[in-house]
Amino acid sequence: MRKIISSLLIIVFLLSCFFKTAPFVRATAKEDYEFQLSQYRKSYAEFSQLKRDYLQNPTLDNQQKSVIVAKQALSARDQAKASFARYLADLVNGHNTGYTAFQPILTRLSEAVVFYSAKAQESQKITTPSDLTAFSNSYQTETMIHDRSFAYGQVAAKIGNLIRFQIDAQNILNTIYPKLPSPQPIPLKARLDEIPLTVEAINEKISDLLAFAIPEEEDSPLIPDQYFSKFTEGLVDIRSRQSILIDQLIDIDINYVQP
Amino acid sequence: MSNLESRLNPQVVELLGKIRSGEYLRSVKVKFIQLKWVFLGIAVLLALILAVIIGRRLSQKSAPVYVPPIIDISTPTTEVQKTSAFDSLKRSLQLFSPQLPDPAIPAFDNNLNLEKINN
Repeated sequence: MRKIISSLLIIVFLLSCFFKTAPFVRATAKEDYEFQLSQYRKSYAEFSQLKRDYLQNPTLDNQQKSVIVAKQALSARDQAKASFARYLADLVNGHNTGYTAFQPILTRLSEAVVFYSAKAQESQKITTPSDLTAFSNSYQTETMIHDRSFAYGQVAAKIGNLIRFQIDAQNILNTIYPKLPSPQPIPLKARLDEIPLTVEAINEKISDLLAFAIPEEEDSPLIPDQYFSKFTEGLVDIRSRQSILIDQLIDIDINYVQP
Repeated sequence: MSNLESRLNPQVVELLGKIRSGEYLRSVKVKFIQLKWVFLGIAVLLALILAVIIGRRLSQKSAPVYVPPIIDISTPTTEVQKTSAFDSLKRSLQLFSPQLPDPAIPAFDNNLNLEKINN
């Protein structure tokens, strides 16, 4: 009995030492995506080579090798896509804006994660080249809507970044408000009155831009250049407005708050 | 009187007679004594001019470069650069890139198969 208790104590001690010293390595969404993408590129290159060999010399052996590596490439591709969707959601959430208008895009990204994870599993049932062809044919139609979510996520991440600037500016402004002179000089009052109007105009611009993130019609593949160009213009406009706002805040801070 | 003297001008003969007797030398000596300060002054002036010319020549040959000492008379201006609580936010905004897509959407092959037509 004593032996059992002592050996149990030793095991508990060793386990506690292990958990204390072993570093908890948790990959970030970005690292996971980069790893999955590298896996896909590697297996896709291997598949391309084996496909060439198979088409030049269509033996059963070459066919089997090609199908096995194709399954690896399909799994890696869909896992890379799922991790890319996770990474984009992480970028949007990372700004901690609490902006509810992002929710439809975040939902689309999480649906994409589920879809691609399921596809990564489903592709492993392929056994023949015809299975592979059938899988790819249905995949091309099913994936279109989920592939579009990547573009929406990118727009949301950028807008989220600008909203974060807005929130940070408001937080800093709240800290300097009590330090402002009382009674407020007329020029200061005029500037303070102008700030809410500028903020409101920026908020409207953000809201308008985000409203177009998910188009009403999604029945065709998204053309990135065409889609992103209007958002880039909108982001430039919002950034320049925010820059003017921050310059106004700096002016108030330096001239009325600091001694 | 010789034949030569008989042929010369009487004034010249008179002058020769004065030179021979030493009368001419005496008159010159008297005049020199009278004007000795003038000659001395001219000599001093010439010596000075000569000294200036020689000095200039020497100075041109090995002209010492005179480097004036650097006297820092400028007082450092202590301009107080005021910083604001919004500065870091402004920097972040300047670093913000509005370019899309960011990160780039990787190219995925959505049509993996073993058919010849797609090779």
